[in-house]
Amino acid sequence: MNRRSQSARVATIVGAAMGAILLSACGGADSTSAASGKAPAGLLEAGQLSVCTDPEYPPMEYLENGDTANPTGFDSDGARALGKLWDVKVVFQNTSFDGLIPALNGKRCDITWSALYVSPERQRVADGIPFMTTGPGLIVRSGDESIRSADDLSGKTVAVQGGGSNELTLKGLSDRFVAAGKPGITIQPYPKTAETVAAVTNGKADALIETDVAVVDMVDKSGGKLVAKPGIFPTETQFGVFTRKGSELTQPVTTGIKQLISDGTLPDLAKKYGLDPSRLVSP
Amino acid sequence: MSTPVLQAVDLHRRYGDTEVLKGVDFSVARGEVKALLGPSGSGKSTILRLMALLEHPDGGEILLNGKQVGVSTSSNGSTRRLPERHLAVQRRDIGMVFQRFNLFAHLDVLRNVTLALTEVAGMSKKDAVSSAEAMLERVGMSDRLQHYPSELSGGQQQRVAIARALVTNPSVMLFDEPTSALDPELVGEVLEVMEGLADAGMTMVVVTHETRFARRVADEVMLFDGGVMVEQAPPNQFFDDPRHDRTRQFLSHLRGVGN
Amino acid sequence: MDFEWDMFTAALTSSAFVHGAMLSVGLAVCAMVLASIVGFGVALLRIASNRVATAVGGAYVWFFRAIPTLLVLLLIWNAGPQLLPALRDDWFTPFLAALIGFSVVEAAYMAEILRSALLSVDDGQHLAARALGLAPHKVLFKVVLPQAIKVAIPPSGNELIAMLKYTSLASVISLRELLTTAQSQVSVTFRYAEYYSAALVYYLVIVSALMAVQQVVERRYRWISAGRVGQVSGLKVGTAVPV
Repeated sequence: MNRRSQSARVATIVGAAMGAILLSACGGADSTSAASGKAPAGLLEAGQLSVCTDPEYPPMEYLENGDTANPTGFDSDGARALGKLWDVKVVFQNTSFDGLIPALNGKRCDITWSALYVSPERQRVADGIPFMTTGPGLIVRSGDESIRSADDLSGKTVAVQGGGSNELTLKGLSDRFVAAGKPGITIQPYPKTAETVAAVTNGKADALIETDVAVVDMVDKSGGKLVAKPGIFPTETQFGVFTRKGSELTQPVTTGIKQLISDGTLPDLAKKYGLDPSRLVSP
Repeated sequence: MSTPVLQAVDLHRRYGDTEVLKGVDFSVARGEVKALLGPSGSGKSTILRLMALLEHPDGGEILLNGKQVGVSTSSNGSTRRLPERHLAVQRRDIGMVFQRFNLFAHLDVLRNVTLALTEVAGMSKKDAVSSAEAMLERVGMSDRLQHYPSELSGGQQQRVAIARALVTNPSVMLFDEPTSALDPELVGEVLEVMEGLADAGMTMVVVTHETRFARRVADEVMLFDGGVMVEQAPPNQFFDDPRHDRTRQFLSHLRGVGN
Repeated sequence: MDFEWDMFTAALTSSAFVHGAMLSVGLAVCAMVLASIVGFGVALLRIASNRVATAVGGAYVWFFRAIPTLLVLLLIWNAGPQLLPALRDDWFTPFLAALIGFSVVEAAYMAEILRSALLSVDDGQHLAARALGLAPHKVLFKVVLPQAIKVAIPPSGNELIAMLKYTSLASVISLRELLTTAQSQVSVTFRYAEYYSAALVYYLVIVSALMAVQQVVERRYRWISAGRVGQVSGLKVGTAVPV
């Protein structure tokens, strides 16, 4: 092949590649699949349910034996149950905690099912389908009796996973203290929950705040070093499955969850992972 | 005859497997000017470096004003090389001028000369500046005090280097091929300064290829070759009627190059 | 275009962003200062004639270039208080822990930069200084080091600017600097463009300021015209100012 036609060939390939990249960047808006069989319309890829998750949160989602493609836990198994209901394959997209909603809206997955509270902020940008009541829980070091109520948190250092509703709860509480002339709460935000546990164990924080389901798991694994303080925060929020705002999937997911609760699938899973089945609530 | 200012006794120096100095004896008395000639590799620059205490000899002694330098002598007579910080003190009495000038690039002309005064002699800044200015006047560089070395010609840099070495009032000045790196046109100004120093009675040892300068200014000329001193004689005898064939051979080569 | 300008300007001027930016800059600058000092010491060890010294210096550079900065931060913050109970007290803040971590790691890189800068100074400078009778520490500080610093400025400027970005690693020990401030705002409001753009503006401004400072410093060291270091010797013969 002579040099001129060879460079022309290269130019065409490069041009086509760039065109494809550009097209895929602006396109993809309405390219979800149609309904087929038991699966609803609106899946990004036909025959597949992709689920965004942050698998570092036992007992809701975590990795067993380091198998990053197959997380375990209540949420992960719940997603698999939904996939089975629709007769589609389930694929998990791991992302960091604060990337769960952005990934959903960035169309990297069909749903986000990863122990997220249904909060007003999240409802503004996505559809939340609640399935379980929950609330924040507090963990302190064993033998530390200085915190018995929410007011005792004034002047304390509390570790929290950054960027979530629990941090907002702490901030709100701290602001109320300051307004009342009391010392506020020193908030230590960490990217991962494991780091909040370390902070309390090694004494850099007095307490940590987490959802009550995770609190049980953390205390269990702490070998007696940590203890949960019940009743500090009211059980006022709900865990939800999230879909894109106004997505075609919102209704099918809602129906699906309703069914999985009524036919006993989710209650069985709850028992399997040490959660209280009576907390399940039909959306 | 008073003690020589600088004396080398049976100097040996080896670099790896090569023996560069094979037992050299040398001395220079007060006010004397000695010129060292010889092919490259003959060891003449090494002698200067050893006498300036910049390197240690592998054998032999160096005496400054009669006292052995570069080593410390214990009570039982054994000697040990002095550590660097003690050597530094002994070096203050010896001035050295290098072929490549080695002016301090980050300092202007004035501060190049005052550095030794303030850091070594402990002079106040004011005194140091006036001493330096006087010395720079002597070498004809008073109009470039704020210039930096990179802005000077080779001849100017070497004259500043001479002033820098002179300013601490050393007993002896050592010159290591001071004009070899200069354009021919600039050689003259440096030789002029050196001649002025000799006339003023400075004790000098000069390694050089400038035979006319050596003939005019030196009290004695020496030829080095292969690590030994081949010939040592007053200039007229050295240049016109040398005793050794090697000297004759060397001189004929110099003459052939138009020197 | 769906960009809320009010939110953007509010973010730009918010105290959270200013505070985060000051943390990033403060941490980067202080860490670089400490790293340069420690790194200088390590560099001297590496070029020493004493074999024990070179071994120690070499071991430091090897160890702290091998271990990831993230790991160092986690070790200092989490393992530290386990081993030294004194570190459990409040004075051992995330900022202090991050400062120690970054300084200690960056010192290994600065040691190499400074070592190459020291070696780049022409041998003749060293020789002439010694010949004048300057004590060894004065040879280093009055003659060799100033010339080495000039060579070290551009790569050090690089390191400082890179360090400014690395400070975001300290989020793993709960330090909320500039980038994490933006991230936390985003995760609450889900408005990405506005907050990330505000962070971007801050980084641009800070780095521009650092580059301007570097230029000023380099100008002060221009006692040799660019690229002439080490050429003071003979090579300039007859080319410069006529006598």
